[in-house]
This record gives sequence, C-alpha cells and structure tokens, in this order.
Amino acid sequence: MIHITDILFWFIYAISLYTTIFIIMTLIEKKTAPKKEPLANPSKVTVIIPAHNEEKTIKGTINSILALDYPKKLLDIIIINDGSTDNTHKIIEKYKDSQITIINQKNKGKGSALNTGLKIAKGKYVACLDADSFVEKDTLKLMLPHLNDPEVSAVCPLMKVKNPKNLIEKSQWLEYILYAFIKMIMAKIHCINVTPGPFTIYRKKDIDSIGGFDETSIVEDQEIAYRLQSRHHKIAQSQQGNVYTVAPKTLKDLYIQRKRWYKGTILTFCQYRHMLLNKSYGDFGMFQLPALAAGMLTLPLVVLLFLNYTIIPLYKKLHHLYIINFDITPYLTFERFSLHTFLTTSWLTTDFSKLFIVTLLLLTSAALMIKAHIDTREKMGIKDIIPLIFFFIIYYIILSFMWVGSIIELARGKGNKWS
Amino acid sequence: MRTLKKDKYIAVAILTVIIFTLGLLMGLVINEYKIKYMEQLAKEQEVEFSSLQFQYLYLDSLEDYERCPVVSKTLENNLITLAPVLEEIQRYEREGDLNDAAYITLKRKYILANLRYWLLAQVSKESCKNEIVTIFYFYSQECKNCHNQGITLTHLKQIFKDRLLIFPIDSGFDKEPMISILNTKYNITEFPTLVIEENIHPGFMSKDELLEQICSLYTTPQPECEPITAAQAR
Repeated sequence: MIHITDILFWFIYAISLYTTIFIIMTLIEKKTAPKKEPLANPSKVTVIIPAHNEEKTIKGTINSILALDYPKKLLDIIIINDGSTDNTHKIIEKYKDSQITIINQKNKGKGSALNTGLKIAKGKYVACLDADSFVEKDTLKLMLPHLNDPEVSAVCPLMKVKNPKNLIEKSQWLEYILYAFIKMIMAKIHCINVTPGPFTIYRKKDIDSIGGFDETSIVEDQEIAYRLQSRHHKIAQSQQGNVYTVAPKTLKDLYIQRKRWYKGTILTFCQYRHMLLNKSYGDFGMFQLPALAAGMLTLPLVVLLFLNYTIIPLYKKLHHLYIINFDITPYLTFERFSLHTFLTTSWLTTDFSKLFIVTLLLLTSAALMIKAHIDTREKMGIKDIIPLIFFFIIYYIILSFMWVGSIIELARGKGNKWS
Repeated sequence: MRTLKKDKYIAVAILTVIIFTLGLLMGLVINEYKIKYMEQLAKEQEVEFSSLQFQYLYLDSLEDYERCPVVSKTLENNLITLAPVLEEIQRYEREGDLNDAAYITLKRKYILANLRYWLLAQVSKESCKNEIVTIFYFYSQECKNCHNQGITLTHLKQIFKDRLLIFPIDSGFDKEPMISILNTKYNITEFPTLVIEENIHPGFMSKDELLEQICSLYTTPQPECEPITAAQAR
C-alpha cells in the first residue's frame, strides 16, 4: 500500500538529493579565488547607515565603522535618520563632523533612506550598513579586493550573529554559518540572491546604473541582488570579512522578521520569474531559482510530514493510553527494551529505505555543518551539541511553520508592509 | 553572457538517480530477507506443530493422571514460540508493504497453527483443569473500533500472560476456509466480536468490562482480579 505521505516523502527526498549533490559538486569544483592584490591605491568608500528607531545599537554601529582600519580621509559616513521617534536623532547628532554627514528625513522606508545616501555619496564604493550591525577592524580591507574584478558589482560580508545566548539566537548563529557557507559555494557559480543589509559593499557606478534601491520593496537587499543578477552583474561573497548582527531573541520577534523576509522572497521571486529556467541567466536561472521554488513548495509539505510522523503517532499513543486507563505497569518489562528483542523482532518492522535516507541526510548535514564551521572560522564546542540538535530538528520545523504563516498572510493580502 | 555547464546538471541527475535507487533497492533487498526470515519461522513452526500433533496422539494414549503435566509442558513451550511470532505477523500485516501469494500462504499457515494451538488449549483445560481463559477475537480490516479493541486485548494479555490465550481471527480473510467455518459457528455479523470461552460478545468491550468477564471465568482467585472481586463484595 502506498500512502500519499510516502509519495510526498520520496518527492521531497529526490529534490533535496539533487540540490545537495549539486551543491557538493560545486563545492569541490576548482575555485576562482579572488584577486588578493594589496590595496596599493585605496579608493574612497562611503558607508551609508539608514536608521529608524535604533537608539539601542546605533552607537556601537557607528563606533565600529570609526574603528575600521582604513585611511580616514578615504572613508565617509552618511547616517540617514529615517523618521526615528526615539533618541536615535540625539545620539547621532553628537557624531556630526567633517567625516560624518547626517541627514534627517520623514519615515519613507529603508530603500528610500539608502537612495538618499546614494545621491550624495562620493565614494567609488558604497557600503550599506544596518544600524543594528557591527563590523570588525579589518572587515573592509578584507572585502575590498573582490571589487578589483571589474565585473564584480557587489561583495557580501560574512554575516554572523552577535553574542548568541539563548537557544533561538544559537540556532540563528548556526543558520547564518550554514547560510554563509552555502553562499560561498553559490558565489562560485554566480548564484547569490541576496546582498544583505549589514555591510554589503557595492560599486557605486553599477548601482547607479541600475537605478539604486527599490523603495517599494520590503526586502530591498534581495530585490537589488535579483536586479544585479538580471543585468548579469557579478556578486562576490567574502570569505573573511566578518560582520556581526543582532538576531531576534524571541520566537515572536523572529516571526516578525521572517514574515517580512519570506513574504519578500515570494514577492521578489514573482517579480523576477522571467529568469526562472531561463538559460541566458546561467546557473542562477537554471539552478538557484528552481531550487528556491522547490524549497518554497516543499516547506509547507515538510510541515505536513512533520504532523504525520510526529503529532499523529503521539496522539495515537495518548489515545492508546486512554483506552487502557493509563495503566502502564504491564509494559514496563525489561525484555521489551532489550537488544535481543530488537534483533529478533523489531527489524521486521523497520523501513530500511527510509532509514537509509535519514542516515544519509544526517551524515551529509553533519559533514556540511563541520565544513561550514571550518570555512567561516567559527568554533564549535561540546556545549553546542544541544543547539545543534535543536537546530536540525526543531528550528527547521519552526521556520516551516513561519513560512506557512507568511504564505497565508500574503494570500490574505497583507503583503506590503515592512513589519 | 553567462555559460552553463550542461554536463554538471546531467552528472548530478545521474548521481541522484543512483543514490535514490540504492536506497530503494536496499529496502527491497531487506524486504526479501524479511519474507525469507518469516518463511523460515513458518517452517520451524510447521515442524513444531508436527511435533505437537505427535505429542497430542501420544497424550491420547495416556491415562488422565499422566497426561496433565505433559500437556501443560507442551502448551507452555508453544506459548513461548508462537505468541511473539504471531504478534509480528499482525504488525507486519498492518505495515502492509507486502501483499503477494507468499504472504497469503504464510498467513494461512499461521492461522492453522494458531487454531491447532487453540485445540490443544481446550484439551489441556479439560484434562488438567488449568486456569486458562481463551478468547477468539474476530476483527475485520475496515472495522473502526478494532484498533482500540486490539489495544485493550494486548493490554490484558500483558497482565495475565499465559493464563489468557487470545486468538485473533481476521474474518475477512477468505483464503482460509477455517475462518468462514468459525464465522458461521459463532454467527459473526459485527466487528469486533469477542468469544470469551463460549460466550459471544458483539461490539467493542472496554478494558473494565473485559477484565470483569475474564475474572468471572477463573475458578480460583487471581491476584489481578482482586479490585473487581472487592468491588463486587461491596
């Protein structure tokens, strides 16, 4: 007998398998290493910091830029106060000097704030930095060499979570590491589909030529990456330039953030759907977008499978206990849990095909996770085992639910707000 | 313009198919093993039951006072070998990824073995006055309450162990004539139906109802029945 859940299982398995093998093949392909020419003639860089009610973090953000190891006369900072109603304005006013320009405007959204900054930016390169993120001293120096390749229009930082403490932050820390690692691989075949708000550096003339940021998009950092891809600009991924960002601490905040991301992902995907399965966009059209589409479709199915394999059996077990009036003493016998029982009988009911797949997927994930930690130079200790297990089993399920929630909201027409 | 490595896409597809098939094949091979293992068990059971029939003939030749300990011994031996295998067969049937002639034959053999075992239990009770309660449990694949009934029966089996013998009968299994004979004999029209000794109880029986019924059939007091007798005394 074949159940619908089995068909779903095999379908999702086949897709994940193809995607994973493709990624691993790309990983082992020969690298096109960035030209590591020393910055003999460093160019002028303008950092744009859009800020909307960021009183808690903006001070640290600005200080981290001021501490950058880069000639001061070649580094401009433009802070756009995008209609903050808290103390952001007061805090940034104190920094005003020849190096730092401050612009106050009515709240028009992040895309608009960034464009305001772009209009007056004088640098050859423009770095955008969210006001809740922090760079390291050498981040800029490590990232700029990628732009020596004239075809590269943007370079993404290695984004990491700042001081992860609770399980939700730790999960995001792991997620960011894995994502950064995947992006390093995808950069090899020019498949980057997001240039993150925290410290992506753009070549100003390229970003001007495509018309700056989209002020209507709720995920302007995804939209601009797609637009760059659609005009065949290259996007590089830095392997060394770290930037630390504050991650949501609670599930509720995470949901607010992810709703915007996921809705934005769908909207941007639809906006650029002409690139899907279009050979002239190379691997981006033929692999990245189809993989993304498959991911979007299978995530709700993962929720269904999760219900099928965990909640329903759990309910049955409870019902079972209810039937026998919760009298479990007869079952607490030793032989029920012994190895002998397993060897003689339990293997008869084990589905070895599924066991094979689950083992395969777990081993691959573990291997990729280890490689990701090595490549992003993040250390993992024994105490991180619990977050790791939580991440692989529960966190993804939570994200799937958030994904489904986002789709439902979008379908009900609540699409275009920033939060 | 961008370039596209077609070879890579094809290579990935081939690898995917290989690994996918590998997983499936492994499942199939192990399934084959499972059947072989079950067949092996069935063969062993057949020998067991040839032996049992021989023992039965031998028992017939004995006087009553000699017969009893031997019957008890035989019953005990078979309880150990048959019960877990039967449980596995039932579970295997529920998993349902096997549906061919081999399985049907196997199931028939088990049903017959089971019924012969039931006959032996009857003899044992008559000649030894053993404290054994036997239950025929008639179920069907479509029956809604049968799953719950199965749970309660398994539970009681766990409590009474070798003093309670349960013989599940899949009433809809028309490949074995013995089943239709039993269906007719007990006039089975509803599922689940329990035949406890010779009393027919159509419909679902809760754990407490069953416990009461079973306890009333033992001639000597059983420790597991104490709460019930206490309640009745009040």
